[in-house]
Amino acid sequence: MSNGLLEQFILESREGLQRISEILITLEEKGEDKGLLNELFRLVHTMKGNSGLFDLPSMTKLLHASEDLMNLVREGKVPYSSEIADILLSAMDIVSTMLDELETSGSTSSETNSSAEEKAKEIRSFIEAKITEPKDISQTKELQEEVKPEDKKLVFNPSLIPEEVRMITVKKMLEGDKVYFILYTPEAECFYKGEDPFYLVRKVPSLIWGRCYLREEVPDPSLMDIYRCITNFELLSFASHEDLSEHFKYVLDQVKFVELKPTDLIIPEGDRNGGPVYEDFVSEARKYLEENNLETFKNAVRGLLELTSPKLYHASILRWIDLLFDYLPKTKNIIEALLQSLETGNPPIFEVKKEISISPEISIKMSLPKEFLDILETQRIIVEKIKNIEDALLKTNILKSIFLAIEKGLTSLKRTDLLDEIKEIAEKTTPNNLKPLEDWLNRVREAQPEPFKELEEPKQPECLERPELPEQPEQIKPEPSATPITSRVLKVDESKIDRLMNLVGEFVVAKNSLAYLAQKADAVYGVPELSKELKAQYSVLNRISEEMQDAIMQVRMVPVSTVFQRFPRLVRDLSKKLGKKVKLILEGEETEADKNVIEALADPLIHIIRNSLDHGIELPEERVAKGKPEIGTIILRAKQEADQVVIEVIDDGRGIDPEKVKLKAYEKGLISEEQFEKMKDTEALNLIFLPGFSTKEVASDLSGRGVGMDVVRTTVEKFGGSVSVKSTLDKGTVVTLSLPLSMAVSHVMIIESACEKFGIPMENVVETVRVSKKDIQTIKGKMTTVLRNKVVPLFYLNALLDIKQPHLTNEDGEYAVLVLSVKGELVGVIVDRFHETADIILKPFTGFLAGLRLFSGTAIMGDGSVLLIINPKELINAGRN
Amino acid sequence: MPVEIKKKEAKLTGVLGIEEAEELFNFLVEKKKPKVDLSEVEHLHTACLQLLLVFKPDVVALPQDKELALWFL
Repeated sequence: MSNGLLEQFILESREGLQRISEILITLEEKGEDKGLLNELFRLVHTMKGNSGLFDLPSMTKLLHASEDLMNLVREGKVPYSSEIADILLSAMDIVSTMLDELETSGSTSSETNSSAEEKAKEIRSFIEAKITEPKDISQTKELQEEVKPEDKKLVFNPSLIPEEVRMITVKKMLEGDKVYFILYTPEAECFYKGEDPFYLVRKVPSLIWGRCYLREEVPDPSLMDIYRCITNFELLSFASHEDLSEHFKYVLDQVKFVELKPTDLIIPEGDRNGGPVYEDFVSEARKYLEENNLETFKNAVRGLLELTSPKLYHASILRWIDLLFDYLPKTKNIIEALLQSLETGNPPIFEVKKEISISPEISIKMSLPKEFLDILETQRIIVEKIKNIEDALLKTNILKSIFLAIEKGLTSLKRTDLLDEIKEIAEKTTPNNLKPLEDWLNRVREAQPEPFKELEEPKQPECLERPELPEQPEQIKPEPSATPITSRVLKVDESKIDRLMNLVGEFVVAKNSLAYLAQKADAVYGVPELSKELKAQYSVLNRISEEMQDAIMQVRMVPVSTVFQRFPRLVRDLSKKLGKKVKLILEGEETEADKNVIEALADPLIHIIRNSLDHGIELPEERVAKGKPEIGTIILRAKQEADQVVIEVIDDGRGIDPEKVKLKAYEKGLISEEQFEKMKDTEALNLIFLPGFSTKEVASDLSGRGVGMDVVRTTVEKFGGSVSVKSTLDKGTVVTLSLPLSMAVSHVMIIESACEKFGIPMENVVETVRVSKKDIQTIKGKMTTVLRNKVVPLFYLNALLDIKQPHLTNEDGEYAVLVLSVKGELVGVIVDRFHETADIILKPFTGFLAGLRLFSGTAIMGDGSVLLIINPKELINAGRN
Repeated sequence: MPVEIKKKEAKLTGVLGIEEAEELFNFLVEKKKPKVDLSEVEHLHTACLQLLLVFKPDVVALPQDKELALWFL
């Protein structure tokens, strides 16, 4: 995962969840405790707040509901009970599942979202029940039951919808579109949350019609609270349920969807009196309809319609019939009912409508996935089997699990219609009366489309053969709470890691001593066997220590995104300030490197990006004039190359003019006239890194960049990295930083000069060669030699270190030359002798010695001696001066 | 200015945010028979819409935006 903030949130939330469940359980054991209750509330409150930072409305809602419940407990309004603990624990389980999903996929699944929403509703209704709990509990139950069926009915009055709109809608439905009626009741405080329900409503996908109305009366408008929302919205849309849920995802609890049937909207309206006599027409019409003589029927209807005043009730019926013609034969029943109404003058009675609203078969038929039907089938078989069980407890428990399986399944499928049904069935079904459940299961089975039933038949025997009850739990969808999810992330103080790292470092040094001991065993004590064994042991320890190092490095690794994250904001703010249009692209944010390296990157990167914005990217007009896209691009790219992390800052701005840079450097006296003449463009670009170059005056004069580039280089080099710049005029600039992945253990080559040993970082060492005295030529007082057709300058190490001793040669009169790469150039350094390479823990100089720039630090060797580590860049600089 | 008041008539223009609700409210409370001209409205915040529902001022011109106008029919 690349989002550090989210990672942090997951980490902290897990800790929170852990503590919450601990507290809930302690509370259950010890009873109410003010301190613990307060802590509990705070934890949930914090988590809720944190979740609000991310796009997790369902989680926030669930935590909000939990928080409210805990608040009531805390304030003593509701006594703490194990029931509350159960509710809260299961809510926390859902949160935990959501966190897991977040970690693996970066988002929560719609299934858990909906279960979170449901849980939140459950908690809310629990709270309501607790607050308004009257003395007589049975009374409330009855009340609730009374309200429930009412709730399910259509809450809207279709005659409020203009007839034309209803006609268009019915056409859509008859053409196969699903149409939803939506009632949106925004909460009263929604304005304070920055919500604008009307805006949301206007953006509803595939909106057909809508109206707004006040849900409560305002007795005195002049005293009204204008920031309290009392407006409701009613809408018709033919978007899918999914799209609508997605659209209203933040306010799902305030929205009701009802799928409409054509007959819900076919409501003739108008004046019922007057107009021609219709009896004859109706009987004729029926005849035409039976005979399927549609043309004549159509003409008759249209003819009559012309004779009838459009405001009459009968005209309305005729208009509907006219519309329904085109969709025969499925609309035959409806037309018949309308004809009936025409005859009697009473509102039409649609038989179909009754069927639809009462029997659940139709809705089942619509969509139950085969897998779930298989499970239902298995439940049916189990019901068959438990009939013979005599143990009442066993029977009850199995029954419970059957309902649980079905309910969970329906919840996941979001079939709330069936869910309500099964809940009713569950209340009616007892161990001694399994009939309601059996009936329901059979009905669902019957209601399946034909092809599916055929498919089912051959499957049945297989189901029957299955082993009986022990199999059953497998059918149940695993519940989130069934598997306790424990945190797999450990939060450790950084100093502990540092200590571990130091210890590993010491271990590496101690391990190195074994190599010396092996040598000594052979050379001094003359026991070659022991020496051999020691060496074998050494290699084992070596391997382990390498792995240890690697492991500890991994612990310290941080993705570069932790640094990159701040740049979008920086670029946004700066580009606005400068009046430029810039797009920042981040690449390779997941690249990891040592924490210290990453931290070291931050400042140089800010410098570079600021330069790109300030001097690189041109103003929009200038860009357009140059034929470039108006919006400039800065790419911030991280990648790993061997043991280096490479960061590139690429802009498509005006680039750096090497001539101007050269000129400026010459004027500043940073380069000689000779250098000025000879310098290549690529070399010239590197001049911007010179310390004297970065003055304000230069930066504003130059079309290129220049601010603080020497600071960038110094910082990067301090961490063993390098920086380079490439630029094409008017095309753009690329600044590349490369830094070692980790800085803990350095690999050095040990050399000897004047009986002293020194370490040289391996990354600078190119090769070791022997150069004969006679191959050394002196050009203009400087020693050089030719290596592989290249002139390489040579230096005596002793001279560089101010040691007054000549260098040793071997028997053939050859010098030992260490070829180094310094700032991309080859340099030969003459030393006395080469030794092995070693892993060392570099300790930089501190205090008075910190100014000693020739050496980058010291390391303790296995034999206890101190090794000075040479800083090649400074060494060669010293030689040049 | 999204709300421009001339005697008994308020002309609403562009997008009316929740910030405009108070001004609109004051206008609707103060005038006996307030009138509103919605022809130039692009969107109005629910709070403003709600005020129109509560005070039922005379709408002298519907929004030119046909979709929006439907809400005031």
